Amino acid sequence: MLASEPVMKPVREWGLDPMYFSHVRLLAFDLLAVRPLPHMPGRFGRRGRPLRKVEMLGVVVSTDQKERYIRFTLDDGTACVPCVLWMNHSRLQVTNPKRLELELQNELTMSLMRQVKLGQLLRVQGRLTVFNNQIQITVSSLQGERDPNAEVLHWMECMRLASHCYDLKPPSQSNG
Amino acid sequence: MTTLKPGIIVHLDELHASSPFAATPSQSLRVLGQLNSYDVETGIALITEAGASLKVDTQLLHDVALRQGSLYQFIGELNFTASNEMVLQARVGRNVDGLDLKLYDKALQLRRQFEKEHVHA
Repeated sequence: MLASEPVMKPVREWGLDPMYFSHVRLLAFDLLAVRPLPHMPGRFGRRGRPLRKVEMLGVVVSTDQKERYIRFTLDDGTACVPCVLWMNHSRLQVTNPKRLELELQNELTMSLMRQVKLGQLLRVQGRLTVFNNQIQITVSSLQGERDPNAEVLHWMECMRLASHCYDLKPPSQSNG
Repeated sequence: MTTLKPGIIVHLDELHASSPFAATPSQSLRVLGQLNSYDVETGIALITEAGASLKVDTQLLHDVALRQGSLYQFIGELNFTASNEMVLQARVGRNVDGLDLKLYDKALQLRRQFEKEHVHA
């Protein structure tokens, strides 16, 4: 176990770390403990390793739907993580050549939004962002989980990944 | 949106007058249990788990169908009635029929240990 927060590697080496490109699965308390890196919006550090994207699973405990987005909170028993799902295509121009594509995206987002209901077990993937000085997930995709055992499995996977991967030093060419 | 407290996951037999979960008023908890009985007028449900039971106030839950004998999970705040009885004021509930209870219990123990190690790391 590390006593203090390890120093981040230089930015040019981040690309060597798979954690920077994958949806990192974290329990909520662990997710909220990541450190936003100064002067680099959207980049975060966890134990010396860079990350941008996360995956989380939890129960929806609050929802707030607006015209262009829906904000909701996921509770996994360790912390509550605010999430936002944007609806970017609400005003479509009839003349836009990409209209059909946008309409499809629109419909897809709408179907995702309908899954965000109080008490629903949701798995979300998205980017980490900071809003009002608080870390949140800007959701890019989500799935409603029907099997209650999925939550238990997710806990186990988060713990296994933390101890076998995320807590370790990243693979590196300079000092292995 | 106000900051919500996470519902700490507990077993019903861990909820007694001297337990740390019952020490602070309106502690947010997540409980699991089989629905034993349900009073339609008051909205009070009684859930049981491994011999222990708890009253759950389900008045705020609208779209959760409560069936006797099914497994439910509730997230809410623990309050005390005038007669010093524990009642969970549920804000969210869901049916968890099919959950492997043994696995759940084991995973929960591992998770608590993991949390302890990581928070202080």
